[in-house]
Amino acid sequence: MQARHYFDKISRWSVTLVGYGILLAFAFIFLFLIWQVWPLFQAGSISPVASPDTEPEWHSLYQADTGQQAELHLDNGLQERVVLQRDGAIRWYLQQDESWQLQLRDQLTMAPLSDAVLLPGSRTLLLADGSAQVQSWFRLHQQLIARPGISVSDTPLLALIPVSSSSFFSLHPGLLQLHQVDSARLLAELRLPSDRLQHLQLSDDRQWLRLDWQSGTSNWYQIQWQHPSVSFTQLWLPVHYEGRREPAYVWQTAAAADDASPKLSLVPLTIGTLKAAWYAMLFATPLAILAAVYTACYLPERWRYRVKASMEMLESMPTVILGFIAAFLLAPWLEQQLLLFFMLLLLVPSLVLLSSAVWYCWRQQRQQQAEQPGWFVLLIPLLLAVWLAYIGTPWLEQWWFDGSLLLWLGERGIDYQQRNALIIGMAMGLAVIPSIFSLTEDVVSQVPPSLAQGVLALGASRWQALSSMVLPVAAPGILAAVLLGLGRALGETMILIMATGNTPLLGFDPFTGMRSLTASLSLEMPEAAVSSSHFKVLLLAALLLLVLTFFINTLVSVLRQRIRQRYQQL
Amino acid sequence: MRQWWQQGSPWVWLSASALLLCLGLFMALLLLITSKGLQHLWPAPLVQFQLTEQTEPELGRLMRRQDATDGMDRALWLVDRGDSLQARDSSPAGRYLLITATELLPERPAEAVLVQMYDGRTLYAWRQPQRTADAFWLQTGTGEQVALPWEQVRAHWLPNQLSWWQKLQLYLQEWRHFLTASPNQNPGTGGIFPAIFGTLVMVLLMAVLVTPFGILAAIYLHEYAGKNWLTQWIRTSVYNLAGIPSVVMGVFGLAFFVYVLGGSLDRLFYPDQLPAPTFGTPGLFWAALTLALLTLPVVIVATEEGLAKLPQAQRLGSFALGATQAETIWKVVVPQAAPAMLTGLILAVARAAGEVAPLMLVGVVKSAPQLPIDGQFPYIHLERKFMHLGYHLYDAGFQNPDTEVAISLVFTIGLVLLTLILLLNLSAFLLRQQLRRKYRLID
Repeated sequence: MQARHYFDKISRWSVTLVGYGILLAFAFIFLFLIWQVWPLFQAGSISPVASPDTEPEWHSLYQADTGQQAELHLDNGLQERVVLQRDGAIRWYLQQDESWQLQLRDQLTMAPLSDAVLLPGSRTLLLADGSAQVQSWFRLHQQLIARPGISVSDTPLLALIPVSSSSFFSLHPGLLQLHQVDSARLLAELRLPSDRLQHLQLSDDRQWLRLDWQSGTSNWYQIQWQHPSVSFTQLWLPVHYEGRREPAYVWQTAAAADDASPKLSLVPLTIGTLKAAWYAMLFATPLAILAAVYTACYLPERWRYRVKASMEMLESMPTVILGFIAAFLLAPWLEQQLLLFFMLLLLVPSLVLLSSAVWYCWRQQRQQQAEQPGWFVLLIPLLLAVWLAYIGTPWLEQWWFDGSLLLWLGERGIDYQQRNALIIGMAMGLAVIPSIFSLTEDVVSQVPPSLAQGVLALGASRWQALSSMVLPVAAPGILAAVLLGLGRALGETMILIMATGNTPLLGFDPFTGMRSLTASLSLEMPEAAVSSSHFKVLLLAALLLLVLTFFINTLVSVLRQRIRQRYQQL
Repeated sequence: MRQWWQQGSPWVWLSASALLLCLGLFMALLLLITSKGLQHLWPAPLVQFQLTEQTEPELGRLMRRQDATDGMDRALWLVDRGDSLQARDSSPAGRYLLITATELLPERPAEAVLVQMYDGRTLYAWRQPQRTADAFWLQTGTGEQVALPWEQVRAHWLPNQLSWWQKLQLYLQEWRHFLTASPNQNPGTGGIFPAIFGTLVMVLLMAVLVTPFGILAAIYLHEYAGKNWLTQWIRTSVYNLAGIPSVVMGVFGLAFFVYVLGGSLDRLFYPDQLPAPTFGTPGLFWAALTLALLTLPVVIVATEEGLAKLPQAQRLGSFALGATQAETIWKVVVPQAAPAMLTGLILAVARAAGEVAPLMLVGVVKSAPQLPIDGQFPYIHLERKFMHLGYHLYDAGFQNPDTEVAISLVFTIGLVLLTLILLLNLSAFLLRQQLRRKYRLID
């Protein structure tokens, strides 16, 4: 008896534990990702330490000088040299074959220059003129281009000290600030114990800072700035990077040199994901919903069951196959037959409507009820549309588009890429049709039949009963189905890797490709160094997808709950 | 006309054709995969062609007709010339040739032989009458006679002399080779056995991991959980778990299982091998664990569905006989719902077999030198990387410079993968069918 009692208890506890475990596991995925991306948004710091454990290689970056020279000579380590006069006259030299060639000569209009630096390994020139803004310029070929200024402390500026290709120190009386150039952001700040800085040195790995004072003493500091090139600005707003004429959203991770900071804007990837999902839904939603409604309401029971079962089976079709077919068969075909595709898009619905009208009139004349047609009758407009499109396309292309639609588009400045959003729309549309179909069919067929019967008894046609009673009742369920499909489209990966071209582009143009968040994740994640900014930003992208699908799925779950209650009430 | 619109006739037609279109598209897709997938290994006849009057005729296999791009209205044939005798050319440029119909000679030489070599090369040549014990004598297109050592030859046949029956036998033999052999060093040749094996081992390991948790969670949700907000939350998280993009799960697997868990395991148990990681790198176990997390909701939902279908009277009867809840669940409910659990498991396996994206992050490689199970202790090597059918398909399609071979190879792999998945799904479907019938009898 006792043993049975304990067995009951243990069983209850262990099963309950696993039940809670599901909730915990899901929460853990969330928390883990948040915990991982947290350091991205942490402010940097410069904190005093007794002395580093092992003496690192020091680089001298700054030495207090006594007098002001009339001319500043700057070097960036790329065999480029800049000569600056205090009044803003600038000459930029390049070393070619052992001699210095003047590349650019310009006169900047500004207050008398107080200090200037050329960032090492880059073509960015920082100029200070006594105001609280440091101007940032870079050379693009034979032109100087201005970037947004960088705000520094409004106490007098003593010196600018270059650190890396995208960061610098600004030295003020009693204050040392570390700035990021691309995002014009203050990374860290240090209150100095004394004004009389003699010498500033930085270790090779840029972790340690050593300050020597004129009194002969030294202080050591540790710098923490794990992710200087990631900030809200750089992730989500246009940033004016060196070498570009204007601010832009850039996703460029291949940092060949250590110094080059990665350009990690999530905007093109997010837009790519949304664009792909948008075109897929555009293709899948009408087809799946219409087909499901027809299956639920018009097909005989036996056929309904078969169609539903086969659709459920197709839901598990591996998307890698779909992606391959899209990339290697569909894309080349569409490139050649673009006009045929559009003709089909136009002709199929219009011919179906036309034949519906013809059928209706014919039935009316013969005094028959206009029922739904048999499937072989349906095939007629479909086949006719295909045939007409096939016949008409070459003729139309010749006559209207000067022989080639692609050239015609090209002349109008519309770029056509072989792997584009239309391909994705079709391939990914096919992948999400079964999920939308299944759920829609479920909710529509579960609507209590008494509702429709009432309307039918009043003399309405079946479609009238359907559209006035059944569909409004089932609407939340259909919305849930569409959202479910959307969730699947947002998270789809293989089709997007294979058939998008994987170029990060902006905009919702149907004829160009894209790079989605999911494709970036699976292509770049294995190569990104653990705990690098790139890796963390990818984790952030995963978190973003998770949050997006979390909202969608929770909404789906709520809607399904609601529709179940509604059916029970009815 | 108004009546036509009001009675909804256009909508009926549109929705009916939407259904027809959906089914037609899927049917076309399946037909495409099947027909292209079955073609790849069929022994095609060899043809002769002569490029100029002076050159010797060459042997080749007709790939397909192509329309001329130069505006002239003539038919061109794409011909596969086979690999060269010396070594496989890394670029496929020399292998394919466009010829005109006039260059194609009408007769199909009976002595044309197709030689499959062990390194994956395929040669087309003329068979020579002299046969020696250690070599196979051939005449190539340039007229030179070559002796090919027998140990390099995997198979050879005379495609133009085969009867239909012999062709079928050869075809089956080639399929057997394709399914049971390893890939060669030449891309796109050889078999796919390690990929099939890797997929199966990973999926089975995943099934072992996912089953207990999935079933217990479903039992909790259906038998123990009260109707309160906590249950609601758990249900929502099951839905959400089902909706998490698979690649996000892969990212979690890589960042948590591999780097955090695996890294800790390495520090604890394999400190002597560091910095070379043992478990701190993508591998079989982490892939199985990630997919187990991904397919957990599938098992939960299917099991719960089965539990819900079991008539309540059974439980009440058990309680009435004095059984505790645990006894009712484990001795009455679970045995009867077992087929539903099996259904869930099969569906989970089918889902896992088709996933590629998360696996790219947590352990799949394009060619693994060793199988994950072998004769060496501890026999199952959980830390090894493995090959997977889906990823093999992706890799064969995208990394092979020879697109012609890649496309037909990919369809063949796709056919194998699709058959596997559809069979699993079909068995789950039939099982569910049977279960439904059984419960109807009980009721």
